[in-house]
Amino acid sequence: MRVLSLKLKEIEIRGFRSFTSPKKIDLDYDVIVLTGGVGSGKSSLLSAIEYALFGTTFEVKERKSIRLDDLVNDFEKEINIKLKLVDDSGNVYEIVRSKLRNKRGRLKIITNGKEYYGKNCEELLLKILNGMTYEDFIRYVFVRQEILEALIYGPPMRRSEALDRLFGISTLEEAFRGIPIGDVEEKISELSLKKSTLENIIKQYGTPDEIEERIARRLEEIEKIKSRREEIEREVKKLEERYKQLREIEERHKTLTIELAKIEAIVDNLRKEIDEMKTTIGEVTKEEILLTASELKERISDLLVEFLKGKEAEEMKKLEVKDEQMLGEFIRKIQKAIEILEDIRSEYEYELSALNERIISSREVVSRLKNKLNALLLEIDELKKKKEEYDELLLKYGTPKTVSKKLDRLKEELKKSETIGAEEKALLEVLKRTVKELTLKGEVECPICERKMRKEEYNVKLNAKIEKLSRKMIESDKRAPQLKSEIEKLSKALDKMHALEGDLVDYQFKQKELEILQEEVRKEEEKYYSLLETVEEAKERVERLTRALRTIRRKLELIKGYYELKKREEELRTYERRMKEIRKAFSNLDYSPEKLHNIVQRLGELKVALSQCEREITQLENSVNELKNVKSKVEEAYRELKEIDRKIKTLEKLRDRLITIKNLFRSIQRDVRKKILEKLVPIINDVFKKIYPYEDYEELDIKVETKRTSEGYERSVYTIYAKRSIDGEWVPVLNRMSDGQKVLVALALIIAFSNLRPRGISILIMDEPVPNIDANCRRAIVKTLSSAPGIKQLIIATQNPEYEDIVKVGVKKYGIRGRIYRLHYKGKEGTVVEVAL
Amino acid sequence: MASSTVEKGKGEIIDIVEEVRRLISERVKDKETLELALKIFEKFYYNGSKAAREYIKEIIERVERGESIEFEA
Repeated sequence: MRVLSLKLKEIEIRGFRSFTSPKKIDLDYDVIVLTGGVGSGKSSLLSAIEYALFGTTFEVKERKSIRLDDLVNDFEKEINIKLKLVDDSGNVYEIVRSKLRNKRGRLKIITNGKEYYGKNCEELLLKILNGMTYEDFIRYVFVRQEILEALIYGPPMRRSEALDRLFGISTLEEAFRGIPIGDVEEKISELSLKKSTLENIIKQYGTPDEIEERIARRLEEIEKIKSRREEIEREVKKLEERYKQLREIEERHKTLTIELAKIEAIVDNLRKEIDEMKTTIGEVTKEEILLTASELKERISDLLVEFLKGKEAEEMKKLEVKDEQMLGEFIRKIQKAIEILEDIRSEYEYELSALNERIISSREVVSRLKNKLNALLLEIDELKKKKEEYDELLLKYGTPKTVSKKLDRLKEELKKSETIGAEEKALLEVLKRTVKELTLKGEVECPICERKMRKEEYNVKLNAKIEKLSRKMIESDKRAPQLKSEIEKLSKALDKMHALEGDLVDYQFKQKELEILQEEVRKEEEKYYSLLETVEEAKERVERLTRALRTIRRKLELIKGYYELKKREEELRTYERRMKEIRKAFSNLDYSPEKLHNIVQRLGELKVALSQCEREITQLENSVNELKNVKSKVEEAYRELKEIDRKIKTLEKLRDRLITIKNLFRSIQRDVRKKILEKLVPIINDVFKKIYPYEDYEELDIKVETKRTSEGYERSVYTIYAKRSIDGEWVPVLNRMSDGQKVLVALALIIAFSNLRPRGISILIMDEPVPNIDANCRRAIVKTLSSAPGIKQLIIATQNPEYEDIVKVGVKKYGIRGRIYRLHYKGKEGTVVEVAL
Repeated sequence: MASSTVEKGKGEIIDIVEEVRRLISERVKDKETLELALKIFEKFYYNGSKAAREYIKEIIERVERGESIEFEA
């Protein structure tokens, strides 16, 4: 691979740390000095280069003092940095990094007019940087003061680590430290502990053979106990059989005792009962009872015949009672006959009750009919009076038809009289008026015939006419009231007659009704009296039957009492016989409670012994099982122990190998360090001579000194020596040199290393690298750096303005291509870059 | 290591990987130890400390599980 050296060409920064608005800075110089006070933006500019190349910064990745988002300027939303690089063939690479707050950063690369994006872009950038990783960058490109300090100050191990990191060989130390011997030891210790536990188990329980022996002993014991148990069981069986027999005898004895006690009680009761019965029925002979029975039979038979139970009566007659044995059957038959007679009596009583109901009903019907008859009679009386009234009217006015004709005639007459009266009255008025006019005028026209009438001719005629008419009218006026009175009287009589005509019809109808009702009452009364007679008869029969039944029952009770007495006497005899038998059976039973007690006691002892055997067997069997488990546990422990032993051995082998490897890495580290120093020390001395303008120390040397640690590992450290001019003595830089001198030694180391151009990187960026040195030294450093073969571009950020003069002199005297930028911070505007040279 | 990237260690003052390989091979006669040493170094160099430690822990766990490990043979 052809390694091309790279240089920074230009940077444009926006929204990054102190940079707000876009600032384009030309970096195409050999030496660039950035000056400015605290917070002016020098470190921000250098960090912008770092961010553009790797997407992170020392503060974020190494110190971890801030987050990526903190890199975004407070007044901007986005970082945007464009960094141009140029290789020695003139190829320009534009690296554009941008990042929105709270978003992931983006990378774009532009080269040869092509733009590259996406995930492969970082890989492309790494290629452009000749494989320079971020770690390489902070090792030998961007040298901070703390890196320089780490190279000189601090304990030897820290110093050595810093130098190893610078030389790119820190992996050996990391590998040495990273090999986890402790883990292996821990695992060995864990397994040893486990091993010890297992050994304890084996120690506790013994070997599997020993356990097996113990198991065999226990099994033998179990067999012995089992054989003892069998013997006990045999005896128990025998005893149980005997016990069963004795229990049966005992049961029999108990049963007989109970039976005897019961029979004795029954016999006592029977005797008492017999005595009482004899008292109740008195002294009666068998013959008397048989005679009574015969009489009873005859009586019942008669009753059955009387009450129409011929078939039953026949059966009763056939019933024989010749001795006491037949009394039971006789009593049952008599009782049956009594039941029949009782049924008959019940039927009669039922009929009697029905007849009584009928009597009540008939009496009610009669009473109701009589009430109806009385009401009818009252009605007929009323109607009779009206008939008499009608008859009177008939006698006085004639029939209604006659009255009606007479009335019509009178009404006609009245009407005619009234009509003529009115005409005559009008004529009289006309005549009177005509006479009056005739008297006044002497001559008038007749109002009727319109003929001329003269006073002298008609006055007298007219007056005569007037007088005649007047008389007629007086007569007519007298006749009219008479006619009216007559008409009124006749009208009233006719109306009355018409009114009474309906009552006359009712009267006739009611008369007929009365006759029917009277007949009905008579029939009902006959029925009622007939019922009364029937009831009396029925009552008499029922009473007779009741009396007969009472007698029958009394006699039957006597027979039954006699019969029961005989039965009890027979029963008593039977029980007395049984008592004799039981007493005989007692003497035959071989019953002994002591024997039974002894067997029970012996059985109890044997059962205790059996249970003891069972317990012992169970205990021994449990013990055998436990021992089997223990045996398998011990066998497992043996197996596990073997496995653990094997693992421990393997781990010990691994541990020994790892210790060997650790020692190996340390010895290789020592030799590699020495090999690097062989190449580097001459160049360091060359650089030191250039940057250290004094003569008190003339040469530097770095030795690799080896020791043994308490754990037995080899440990090598770098020790830097300086040769003192005054006596030619090699003295340790750390103890003898001032802080400024130490920093210069470290710088010499860095510059020397840069001169070797690892990965072809020829840029050196220094942030406040050497604060405690004088102007002579500073001048020497700048001169050296600007002329160092491996360093093509040097960027120094410093607060010290004297560096400006150094660069100015360098440019003027040695022809260096240099540039000075002065940086200021102006609030919201951010960092402002001013070109000072 | 991806072939497209620039090989780690190339361009340094010395090629550390090459040098370590050489020195290990020179100093270790036991084959298994040699291979283990090389493997551990390469793990640390290329994959980082964490991955390398995990690799060794895995070997320990394999022993614990009773599995065979190469150098046992």
